[in-house]
Amino acid sequence: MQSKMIAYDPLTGEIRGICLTQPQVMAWQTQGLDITDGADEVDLATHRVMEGQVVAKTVVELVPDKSEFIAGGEEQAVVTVAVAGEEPPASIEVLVADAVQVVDLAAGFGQTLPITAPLPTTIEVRVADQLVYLDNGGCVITAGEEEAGG
Amino acid sequence: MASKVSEVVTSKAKARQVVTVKDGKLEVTDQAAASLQKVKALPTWLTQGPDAAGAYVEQELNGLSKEAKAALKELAGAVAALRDRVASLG
Repeated sequence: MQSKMIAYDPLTGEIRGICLTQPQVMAWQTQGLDITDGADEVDLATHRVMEGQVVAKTVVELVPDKSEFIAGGEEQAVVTVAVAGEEPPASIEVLVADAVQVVDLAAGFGQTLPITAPLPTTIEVRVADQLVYLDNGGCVITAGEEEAGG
Repeated sequence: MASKVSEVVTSKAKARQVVTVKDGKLEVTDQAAASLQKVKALPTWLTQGPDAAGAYVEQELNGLSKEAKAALKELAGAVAALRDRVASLG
């Protein structure tokens, strides 16, 4: 397995770059970043640095019970949150249309409040902490118009 | 059914969507769609051009009292004078 140099923010652990050459390493260091070794599969989106060690972000699945519902009626959608790992947190912050919602977890599983929309719109649901968690784009729920005649 | 907004959570920076906690649910309102709905809810005479608006005003005028018509005529004269004054300013 090949290793490569990882430049990361020492305060947050966010990986800011993969260094290929020594001048590049020095350039990152002058910007206040720390350098550590990382395996070849390490990527900015999927990993972070914790206590000097490169670790994979915790995977979170956001699964809606329905990806579409009719706006303005009684219909609603609920998103199930599943946090991977042996020691999941007791709660996690989720963004529903950029509004922070705290979802309580039991053994890594939880649900958002039911989501409704009075008018047609597209609702994006993401994990708030993109540094620690990997939600693979989260999920999108479409509140659509009722079909004419239907 | 009566509903109650218990908490306004937040709005996006661009104010495109507003999320409220309502009756234990997250209600996501698209502001653009809400604005469009308001426009659609306007009376047709207001949204179908000057002719429709003119016809509506004419119809409404017919139902007014003599005094109200006189007051409106005076007001229209004042508006016209003001318009001419503004135009003369170049």
